[in-house]
Amino acid sequence: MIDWSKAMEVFGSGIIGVYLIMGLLMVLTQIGLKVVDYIEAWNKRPAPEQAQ
Amino acid sequence: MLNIFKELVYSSGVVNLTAGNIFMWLIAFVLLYLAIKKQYEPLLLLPISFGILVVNLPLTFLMEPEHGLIWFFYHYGIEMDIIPPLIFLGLGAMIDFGPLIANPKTLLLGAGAQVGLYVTFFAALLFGFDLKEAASIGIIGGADGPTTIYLGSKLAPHMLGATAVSAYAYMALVPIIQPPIMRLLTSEQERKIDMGKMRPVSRLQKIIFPVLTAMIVMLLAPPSAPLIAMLMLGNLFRESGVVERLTNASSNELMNIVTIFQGLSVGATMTATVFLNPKVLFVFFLGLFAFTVSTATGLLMAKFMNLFLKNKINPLIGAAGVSAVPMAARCVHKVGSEANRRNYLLMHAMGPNVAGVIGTVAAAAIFLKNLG
Amino acid sequence: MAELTSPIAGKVWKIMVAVGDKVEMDDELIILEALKMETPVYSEESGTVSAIMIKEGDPINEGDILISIG
Repeated sequence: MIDWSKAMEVFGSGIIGVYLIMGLLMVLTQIGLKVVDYIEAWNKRPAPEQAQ
Repeated sequence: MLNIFKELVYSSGVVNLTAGNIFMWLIAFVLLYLAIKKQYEPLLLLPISFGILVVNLPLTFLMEPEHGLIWFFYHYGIEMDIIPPLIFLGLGAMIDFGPLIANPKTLLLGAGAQVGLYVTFFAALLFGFDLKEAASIGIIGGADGPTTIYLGSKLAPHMLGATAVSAYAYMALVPIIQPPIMRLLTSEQERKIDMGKMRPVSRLQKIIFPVLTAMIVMLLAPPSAPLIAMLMLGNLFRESGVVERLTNASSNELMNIVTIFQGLSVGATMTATVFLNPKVLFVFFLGLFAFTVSTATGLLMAKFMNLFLKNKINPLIGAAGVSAVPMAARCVHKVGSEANRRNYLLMHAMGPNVAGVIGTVAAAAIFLKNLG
Repeated sequence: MAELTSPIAGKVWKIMVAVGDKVEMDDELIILEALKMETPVYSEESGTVSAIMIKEGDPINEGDILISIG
């Protein structure tokens, strides 16, 4: 017979787990994007100043 | 003279043929036809169908443990989990995660489509499959061949042929399966949403992504390691731009080589005695159900996200959350441009599409943790 | 003078017009290829093609100028 409590556990932990992993990945990717944007903007800034 | 002839007949495979063998030949012929004439995933279906054909020739012992040629391919390649990760290495070297990095919210759409996979898991239990079998059927909804094979070989190897073939077959049928569901669940107005230009993604961002993703996914779900590690290594090869030879080797030569052994071994698991029972045939029905529900939950996730977003996303791209790269993204683009011919959703749909690959691996890892 | 830009990154598959052709709004001007799928690009206005910046087989990025119409 099927162990329905185990089935519920697999079902619930699966959905929560996938969202947790993907959600965390989303947040960190967004932070990474912001940081890199900032670094790149900062790297670009001195160049025109030198030109002046 | 007569005796020699008799012996020849009895030692031949002909007298040992069963009706089941002949039925499996027919399946092999149909798949060969689909692969060659219709070009449905020929790279996969061709070796698979030939594998089916040859193992159903009696007395060849190609799948005889410790003895048969294809058994060795199967044992060292699939059972020992070598081939699916190697295919992922090649996939990683081919995938551009740019559209996903440009719009990280699409990662949630990649998760949304995986809900369908758990719904199918439940449905399979109701139809009398056990927990492990149900998990390896549910994963079909992820529309990802190597992951389906990876999980199937660990949880339900006796059904591996059916789950793998239905995953690949339905992937080829995505352009037929998905559009009706897309039209049913979205309004004309929603399909018309133009998502505009995508923000540019720098090389540094593309290099950081595979490293970051590998670390996070493996820390949270360690059983995903073989697949995610190889996928992200391949992607790092690609995005680093300094190892073009390795990128090409992973995505061309190595990928092609292992594809041959994967197809042949998977096909060879489908002997008449294993394959021809009603339960296994039901896998094909549930596989279709899995694709349908995953598409639907992806679309619904996108609509749900729109409730909170200021810049609305086109809910169609949620359907691309089932991996099937890039068939699902193409399909989204087509349906989107039918509603608004200036709507170019292709690249926007690639975001959830590649997120779906990560999502499916995560789901498989969680199944393995709970059931393996 | 208006410029038609590429909506998508990919390759130029077919160019359906030549310099000097009269085009109408919504005419199919160029077919791009991205991910092995043909994607048509439509004219944004009516006029005459004054210059074509690309040739068949060229790789293009999103936002690249394809054709100018004047």
